[in-house]
Amino acid sequence: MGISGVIGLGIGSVFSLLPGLHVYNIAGLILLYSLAHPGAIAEQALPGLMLGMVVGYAFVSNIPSLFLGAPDESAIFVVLPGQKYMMSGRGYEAAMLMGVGSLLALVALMLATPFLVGVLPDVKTVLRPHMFWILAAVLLFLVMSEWPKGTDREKTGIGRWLGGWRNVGAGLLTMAVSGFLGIVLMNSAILPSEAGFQGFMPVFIGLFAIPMVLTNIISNAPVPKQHFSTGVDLTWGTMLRGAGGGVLGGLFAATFPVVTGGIGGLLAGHATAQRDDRSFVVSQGANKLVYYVGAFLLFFLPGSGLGKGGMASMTSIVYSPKRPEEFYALMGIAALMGVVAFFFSLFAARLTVRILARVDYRRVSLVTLVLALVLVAVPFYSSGVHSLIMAYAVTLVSAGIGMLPVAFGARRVNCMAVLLVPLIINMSGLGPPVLRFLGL
Amino acid sequence: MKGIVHFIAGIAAATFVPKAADMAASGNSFVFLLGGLFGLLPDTLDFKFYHFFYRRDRNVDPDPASLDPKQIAQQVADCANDALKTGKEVRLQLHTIPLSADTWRRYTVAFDVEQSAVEVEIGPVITTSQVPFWGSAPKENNYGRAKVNGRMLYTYDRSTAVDILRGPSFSFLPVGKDQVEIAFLPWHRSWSHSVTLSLFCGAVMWLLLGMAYGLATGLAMLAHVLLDSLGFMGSNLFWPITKKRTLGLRMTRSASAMPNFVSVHASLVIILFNLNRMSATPVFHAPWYEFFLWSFALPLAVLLVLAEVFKRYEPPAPKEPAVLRQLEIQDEQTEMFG
Repeated sequence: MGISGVIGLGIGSVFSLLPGLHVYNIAGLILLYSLAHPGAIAEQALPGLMLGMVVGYAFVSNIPSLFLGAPDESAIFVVLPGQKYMMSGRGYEAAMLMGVGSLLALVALMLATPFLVGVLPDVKTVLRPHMFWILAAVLLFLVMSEWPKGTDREKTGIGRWLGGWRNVGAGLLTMAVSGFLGIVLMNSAILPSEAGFQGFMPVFIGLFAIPMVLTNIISNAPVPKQHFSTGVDLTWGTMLRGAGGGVLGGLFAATFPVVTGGIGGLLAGHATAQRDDRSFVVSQGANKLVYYVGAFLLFFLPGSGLGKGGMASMTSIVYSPKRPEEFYALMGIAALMGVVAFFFSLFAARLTVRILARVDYRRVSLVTLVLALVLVAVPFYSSGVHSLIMAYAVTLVSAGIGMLPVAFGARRVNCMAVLLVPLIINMSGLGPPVLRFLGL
Repeated sequence: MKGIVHFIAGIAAATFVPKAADMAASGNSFVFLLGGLFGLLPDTLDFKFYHFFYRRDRNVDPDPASLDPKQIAQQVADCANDALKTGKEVRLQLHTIPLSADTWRRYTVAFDVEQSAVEVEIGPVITTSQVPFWGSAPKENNYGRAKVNGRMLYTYDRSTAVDILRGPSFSFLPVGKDQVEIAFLPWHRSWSHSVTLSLFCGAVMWLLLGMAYGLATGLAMLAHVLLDSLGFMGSNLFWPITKKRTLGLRMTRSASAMPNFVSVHASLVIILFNLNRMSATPVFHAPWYEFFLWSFALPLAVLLVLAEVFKRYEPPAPKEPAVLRQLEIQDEQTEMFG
């Protein structure tokens, strides 16, 4: 289990450096290979391998998102503090802060294990009949918490209202069209079912990756000189506040269906009233670790029904956890691998800074775009030309929707309505009439 | 309090309504969503609608190229003086000073109630995250003061920072011949944050959808009014009978992390307790005090102890904590690259 974990960590860390590539894509390919070649990967090696990959991803994937997501300054309202660090020449420090957040989250996961094992299944039992309205409440809060951002300089009330509602309206529109896209895609054969869990990749690449890369290419913003900091400007209080918020958001995302790390992080950020950029960046690292690693680890608690996420779904096809001891063993492996992944992420950040200093940033963004478009084809190439064309059409439509919040300063997390809306409609029992109305 | 506090507190209030959990468990969960919606409704009305249409008589819009704190102070003092002179309310909008898409010039406006004067201080350049740049505050011509020809009645914070996005507004209402009452954000927490509107909304929803919905929405709005009453600004509790805001209890600050987090935690525990209590097959069988001891009081005690410990070991904040201070340190200690 340990050796396979190290191998997984290596694979996850290296592939996480490629922008736009998700560790689930690689895990999916490995799984397809193991299914096609029974015995090629020993059953007992699989949990460690997958865990190593997901730990590597949780730490290292921060690097491409930090350094390859630099927008021009007009888009500052929609970028996260991590990117703001990069734009002020402190990308390496942000990478350190995120890594610290992830390490603290690992410690918190270990400390919280008795609680997770003892209480969380009971809490989930109480909440299970109420899952629909809890998810609907998350969506409603996302809608209601997009506040106007205008500067109030217009002379008339209507003018001020229209100015203030620019981002609010764009957020609502993003949510509506993302939700509509989700309903159509989940209830039609536009994307072939053979692609399975990889089927939604064109949607996510279109909604999130392409708008980010296109913004970089269009704005042609220069990458500022980056400083290699030897320490971080962080007090214990700021660090623990950030990590605490991130762990809470990650736990929420790791236990509730469809709620992603981004949504969980946003809710926890509000709940802990975070304003400091440093604690926000720390919380991003913590959130990501709990969302990916925590959700996957919980899968190894037999009978708890707590596991969630793409990695747990994929692993469950070929493996079912047998004893609680596995959970504790994997927890220890995750902690050890987390330390290694932390140092590797710092090395990767230095490497990225050196590459960016030598290569034109626009060119790097173009390569990222091409890579993302190639990735769209991977799950569909075997389904024929028609499937490929449809996958690219979906990517194009999704990218158009994803550009809406970027252009109007709304929250990009609104795009997650692509999953939330169809699920809520189905859980509420409104699925059939809505589908009839849409002619699907 | 933050929006999420009001939203979750609204849902928590709705879970007290008899039959609400039954309705939700059997698929009719609209009642809890209404709790969240009406919990956040007062702020939605204020910040998304009312504030844009609120009349403003004067605008202070400083020119970033030639900042004159004395002139700004005089403009603010003139509002108070004109209110006293005319006997009519004057409403003032202070505008922010944007320098670029992510940088702003901060200035503060203070009301010196004892000396009847308005003070303005030009501050540093800050980011949209309100982080100041080291040494960016002007060394000269950074302070202005103007006299008000009467007594100022002002109960909110002595000084107000005008920094990012939209600036704050004030109203100056004459009281008698030589006193002027100053209200911070006069459009906020007025009619929208009243017990009367909460009861009215609850009654309308009762008539339209039934008792459970009426109780849930009314309680959710009342929870908002109650939580805001713990702060400094207070609310106009019995609009339209009362015309002014009643002072808050001054127990919490709306932006402070701890009260916000504790309120969210308490609301979540209440929701879990009520859903479990109303379930046909409850999972937790402990009495309510034991349930709240383990799920709320003990974690809160641990949190408070931790917060106190870390506060003690927290190094004193530098006089000018800043982005540039950070970069200056890095310039000395680190390798420059690029």
